Amino acid sequence: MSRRKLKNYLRSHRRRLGLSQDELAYLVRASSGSKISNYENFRCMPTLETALACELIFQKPVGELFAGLFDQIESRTGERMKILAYKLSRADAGRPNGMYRNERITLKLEHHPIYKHKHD
Amino acid sequence: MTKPELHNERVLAIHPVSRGFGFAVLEGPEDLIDYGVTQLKQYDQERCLARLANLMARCEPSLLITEDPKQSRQSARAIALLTAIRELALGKKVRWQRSRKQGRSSRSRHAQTKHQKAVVISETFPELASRLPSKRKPWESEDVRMAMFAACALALTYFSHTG
Repeated sequence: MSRRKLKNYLRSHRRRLGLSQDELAYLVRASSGSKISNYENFRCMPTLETALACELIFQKPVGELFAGLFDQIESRTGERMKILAYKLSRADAGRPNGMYRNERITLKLEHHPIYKHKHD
Repeated sequence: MTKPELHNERVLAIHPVSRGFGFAVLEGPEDLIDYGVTQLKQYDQERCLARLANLMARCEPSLLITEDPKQSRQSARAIALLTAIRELALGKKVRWQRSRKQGRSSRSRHAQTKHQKAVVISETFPELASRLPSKRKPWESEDVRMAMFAACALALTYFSHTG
């Protein structure tokens, strides 16, 4: 049974490694352990630098560490792809048939894996 | 592109202790997301429930498992807390389920005592090994950390029954 994922799984991965919040803060060059606490309780988002550092420390891809956020972005991007494809196809309407730029992009978007992703 | 793996149902298991509760959050039988013991210096059921509500807001469980308040052999205070937890879960529209007989998951089938079951759980989840209390002497009271293992056992039993 699939279920909405947590925004991030930093807490479980940190505890699996046996690190304290202060120790992880030192590793990712965050100001203090309270910063890590804020990330773990979804009060704020880490910078790209911190997220990549977490990927290296926990040996898990960012998409898995921030699974809920990843899903949210995937869904949002898929929606935007559909809108863009629609807008581009509308812009081509009325023109003679041919492989125009818009048509090429629309085709690429429609075959993108995220385009067919089931959105919430 | 890295696709995150599918997680199972997120289950929050609660085991009350004298001044609070132990909890475990699992996403499937292999994935321990969070665990711990929440204790208050002076017991107050409302504050205890507020802590639980915070926990539920953070981990967004789809199912909450506790011992059956009607069949529990715990103290009156713990039974009152179990009943209040059930009402809290229903109020928050989180599915609540009472546990079946504790400790009958396939992994802990041969474990007889509570400590033996806790050892099996700490072998399943090595991050819990450092939290495992030493074996209780007959003249000692139970370590509160056992509540965490009891909560884990509740969740694992649920997963072993649901397959």
